[in-house]
Amino acid sequence: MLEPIMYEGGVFKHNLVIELIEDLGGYVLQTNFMQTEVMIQMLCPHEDISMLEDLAKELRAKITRAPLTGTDIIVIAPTLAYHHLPHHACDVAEYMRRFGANTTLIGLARGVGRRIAQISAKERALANEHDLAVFTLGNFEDCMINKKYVLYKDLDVPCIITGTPELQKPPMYAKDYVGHLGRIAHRLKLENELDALDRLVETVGKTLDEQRIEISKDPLTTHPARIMKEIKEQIPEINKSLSPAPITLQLMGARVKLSYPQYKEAIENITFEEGATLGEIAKVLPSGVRDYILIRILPKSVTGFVI
Amino acid sequence: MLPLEVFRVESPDKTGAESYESVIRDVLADLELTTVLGRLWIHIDPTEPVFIFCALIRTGLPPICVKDMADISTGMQSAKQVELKLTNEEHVSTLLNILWIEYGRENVSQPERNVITIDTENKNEVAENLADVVIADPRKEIESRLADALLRITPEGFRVRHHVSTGSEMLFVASEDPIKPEWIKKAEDMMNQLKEDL
Repeated sequence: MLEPIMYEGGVFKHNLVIELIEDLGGYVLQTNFMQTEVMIQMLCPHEDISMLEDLAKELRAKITRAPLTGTDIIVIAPTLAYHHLPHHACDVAEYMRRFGANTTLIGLARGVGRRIAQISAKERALANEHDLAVFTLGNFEDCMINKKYVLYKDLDVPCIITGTPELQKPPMYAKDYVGHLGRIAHRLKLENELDALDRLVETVGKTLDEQRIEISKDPLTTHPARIMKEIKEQIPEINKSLSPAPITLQLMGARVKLSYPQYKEAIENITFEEGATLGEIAKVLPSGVRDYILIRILPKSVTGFVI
Repeated sequence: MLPLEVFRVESPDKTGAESYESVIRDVLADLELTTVLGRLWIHIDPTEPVFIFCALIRTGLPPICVKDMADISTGMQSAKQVELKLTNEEHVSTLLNILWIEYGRENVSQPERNVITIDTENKNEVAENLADVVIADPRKEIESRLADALLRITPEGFRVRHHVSTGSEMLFVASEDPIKPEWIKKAEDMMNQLKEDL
């Protein structure tokens, strides 16, 4: 089993870490350089973590388990107005990034108000492309319970709601609810606010683990990280992308930041050692984000094999 | 009236009201309005849905005229110009813009940092008129900041608005449904109560 790990240390000799992970059969998902520091997100085989720990100790680096690594989460604010941004919606998105998630933040076109709140088909399709949606809502219990559910009731992905009141049970149609995280007009740095963010990360992690268990009942034909590795090796253009995460991993596939009309065939023709092509084991679809490509890996029950 | 001597946020939803109070404090602090407002009373009922904002504004600074920032003199009898000796440089760029529009760029010059001269035939009249020209009005700027704060504080979906604003008070009612007369009545009652013991 692959364990999601985050490595934080100096740039000096960090390539040793990358080499070790590759030798162990793990995957490096993302490498971010911040001047002389480097942050590497990776998947490491569970039984070999001690080797990684030893190397990190030698390089004076820090290793932490990042439960949200390799997931794609969308944070949805009712609009992009200063009522919600930069605090608290951006703070929520940023905090989850620290635990390894790739977060996208959007504001709905008409998500405000009570009676007038609505979500468009395009926004819904965009949210459904992700592993999980976090709705950052406001202060009032009545709005939360009786009105705002229209925003997420038709979503296929699990939805976690944040708001000010402490609710006994999550609102209708929501997977879970995190309180004390409603409309806040300052940077979230007070103790209770950070506690609420921690609870959110825990709730998100729990929900994603449940999804992983659900997926493991009918396992995917291959691991999304393997697809990422093959794309990097077989389509060199991906390395020219300026995005920090040219390939965003998801629980059931990946989003590739290449033009769909241009690269659809190249992606489908990617060949694995075992002989299968990507087109046979996954659906290659247009993504709702720009003209990017969305890959959805087919489960074993459809393809009949696992590689 | 002391700054924010009355600060009341009411709602049937207690937790919501507390949290809203924090939002309002942040917004007022961000826009540097804490010393501008004397009394503030906000009522929010999400089930109605209505948002009522009543505030008494403290009388602030008077407008700044040319005579407040410069000594105006006409110089010698023979000279055909008015001379402004600046005592405060804060609003010089605005002053210059106003002078250029009024007297033309070619007639306005600044021989020294603290001196501005205006060439004119009838210098006495110009000197007299110039003294009371308003250069900056802090009240206007505060009003625009206050309007900004209101938009930030009001729940975003409440786009049907009713407001009454005089120099010293501000009454604002917002909802997502048409405004009901009883809400305005309630707002006026709140305002009257706020004004008591002044």
